[in-house]
Amino acid sequence: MSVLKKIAHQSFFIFLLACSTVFFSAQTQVAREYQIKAVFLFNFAQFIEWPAASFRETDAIVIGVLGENPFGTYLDEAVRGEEVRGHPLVVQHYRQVEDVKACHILFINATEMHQIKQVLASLKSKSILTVSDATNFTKQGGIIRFFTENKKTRIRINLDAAKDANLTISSKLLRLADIVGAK
Amino acid sequence: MLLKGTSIQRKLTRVILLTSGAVLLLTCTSFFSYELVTFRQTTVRQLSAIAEIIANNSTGALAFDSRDDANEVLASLKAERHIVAAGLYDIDGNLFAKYPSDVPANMFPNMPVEESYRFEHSHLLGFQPVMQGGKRLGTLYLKSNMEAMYERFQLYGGIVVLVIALSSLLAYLLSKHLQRGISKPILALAETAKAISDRGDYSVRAVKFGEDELGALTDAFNQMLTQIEEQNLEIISFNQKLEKKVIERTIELESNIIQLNESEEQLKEYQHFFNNSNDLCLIANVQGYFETVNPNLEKVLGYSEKEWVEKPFIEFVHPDDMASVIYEFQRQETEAAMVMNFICRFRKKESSYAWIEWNSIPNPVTGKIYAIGRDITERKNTEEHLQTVNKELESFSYSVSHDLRAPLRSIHSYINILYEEYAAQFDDEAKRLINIVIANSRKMGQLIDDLLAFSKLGRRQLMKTIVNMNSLVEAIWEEQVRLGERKNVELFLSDLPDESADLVTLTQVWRNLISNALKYSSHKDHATVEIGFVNKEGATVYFVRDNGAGFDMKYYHKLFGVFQRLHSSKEFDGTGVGLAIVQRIVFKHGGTIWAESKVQEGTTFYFSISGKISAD
Repeated sequence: MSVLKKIAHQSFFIFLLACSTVFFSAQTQVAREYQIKAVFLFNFAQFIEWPAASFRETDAIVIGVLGENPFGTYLDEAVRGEEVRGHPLVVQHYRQVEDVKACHILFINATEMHQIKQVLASLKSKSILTVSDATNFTKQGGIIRFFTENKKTRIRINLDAAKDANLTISSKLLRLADIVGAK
Repeated sequence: MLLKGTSIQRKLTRVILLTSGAVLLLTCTSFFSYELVTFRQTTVRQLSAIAEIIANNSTGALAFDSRDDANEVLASLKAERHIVAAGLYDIDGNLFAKYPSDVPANMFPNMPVEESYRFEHSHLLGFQPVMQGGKRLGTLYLKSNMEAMYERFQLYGGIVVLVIALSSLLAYLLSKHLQRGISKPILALAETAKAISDRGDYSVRAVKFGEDELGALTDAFNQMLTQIEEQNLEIISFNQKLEKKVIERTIELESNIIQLNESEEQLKEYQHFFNNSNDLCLIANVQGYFETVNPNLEKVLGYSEKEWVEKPFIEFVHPDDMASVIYEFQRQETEAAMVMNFICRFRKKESSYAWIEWNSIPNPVTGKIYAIGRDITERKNTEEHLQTVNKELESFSYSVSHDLRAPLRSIHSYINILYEEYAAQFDDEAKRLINIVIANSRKMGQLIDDLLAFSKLGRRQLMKTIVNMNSLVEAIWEEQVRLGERKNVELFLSDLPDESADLVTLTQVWRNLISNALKYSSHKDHATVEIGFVNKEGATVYFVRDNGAGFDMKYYHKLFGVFQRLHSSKEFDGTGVGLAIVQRIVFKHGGTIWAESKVQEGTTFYFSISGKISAD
């Protein structure tokens, strides 16, 4: 093989590497955001207390995802093998709100925002921590919304909604979060 | 004295100071160590309490990735001034938040460890896990400055040193004061003891300071001194006695030594005497052996000393003498009597015999016999020779006398015939001459008869019987008085004891002596004869005493000689044989005869017939 050919060969590889780096970096940015959010979802289980009635149907703490799953495998990885206060953790995915039965933390994808009022209304009687990263989620009556500030994921809590859902949120979590009232 | 004294004081002070110092040091050290340990435990506990609170408060921040909140939580540590650094690590061990915020990250440990608290260079480092609902979220790191604490401990140390110093000072002052109670009596005792050892004066007594043990010691010491003083006196007097005794003994010993030397000298002299004696000196034992012999025994008899002592001495004795030797030896043993002039024969080495005359005396205790002998062989031979000569002489004189008698008798007969037949033819002068011849021939006949009698005595064997002395003497007296036709003589006769003797010869003795006494007292107007006896040296000594002519004692040696006369025939008639016969008979009886006389006063004859008596 000639030297020239060799150089051409190497140059091709360097180009390929550069292209993939730009692509993957954008891809990673999004993935990392949802990785953090998956962990946050899991961590909510540790800072929030559910009424005893909510463990009547299942012993596990169920983290549900309504609509399209933005977490990939991150959520499953975050909860795998974990236990909170003796309760195992289970991830479930729901197509529509009617599927949601025994659930403790429900992440509602922003894609479902068009029918958010109906969704929240149907969940009202249940002690379910509703979480979403959609804008105005807390204004709409959702309990926790992820928002990004200075490139960091932060939390906003609608305390009235949490009270309505009969959930107790740890002050440690409250101290980190933006507190809003729905009314 | 002062130096010696201070040593015990110093010792007491040192003991007290060391004791109190050690106690203080131990107390302070344990107190200090206890403080240190408890303080550390407290500090750890306090820090872990803070750490727990902070960790608890940090859970949310860690769970939801809130650095601001974490920093805020850590900033609350500002109230705890001793905490100089704090760090919060996430579950992966990355530093998540730090306090104070301006401290560079490289000042923090790279990786947190499990829950632990440790002291490092005056700092306490603590790692506290951050847990939420049993799940670990991260680790809190705290660094607490301990300098404040160490400052406090420096203060503590200072106080301890000060306390020790002050206590020591106090102990020193107290001990200096209190030890006097002990040291003073001891010093006084020591001073007394030194005074005693320096001067040897045991009359000194130690002063007593109290009724405690030291007081008792002082009392005991004084008592001991009293005892020593008494014992010293005793020892001195004993020594004096001993010295006196030694001197006495020395003097005694010296005199003993002198005596010993003298006796040694004496012993040497005796030995010299013994060894150089010309006599045979020996010591014989009870078993009949000679034990010691002097060199003269070898010289005389030819046997060496060794030969003498190895055989019983009886084997050296002539067989004929053995019986008498054994008899004498046994008599000496049983009666412990002296043996005098014992004669026996000993065989010489060249097998002839020697006559030995022995004198010996036994030791009554050991039974040993000390004997001295003399070789008398020569004397014995001379005696034997003399005896032979005497016998020859006796038989010669006998035969001469006998042979002379016949011609004399014929002369006497013919002269008598001549005188009687032819008396008318002779004038007076011729008659006178013939009478002289007749008298002389008669006298000669008497001489020959006496001589014959004397000669016969030598041959005669004595026949001893018990003789009645008084009747014998009385008969002879009457016979002699009648023969001599004596009237003016008086006899004083004692009661003489009887004795064993040969009657015939003893009659001759009395006859001769009585006739002598009568003869030599015939010139006296009033003649007296006294016959009596005395006991001398265990034997009876008879005497015949007259008051007659007597004789001069310077002629005494001639008195008993044959034909010897001290008076002329004109004065007193006699042949000079009578006393010779008397002496011969007495000797033959084994007796002694002697006389005492004074001229014109008288003569006394003494004789014994039963033992030799020394005449004096």
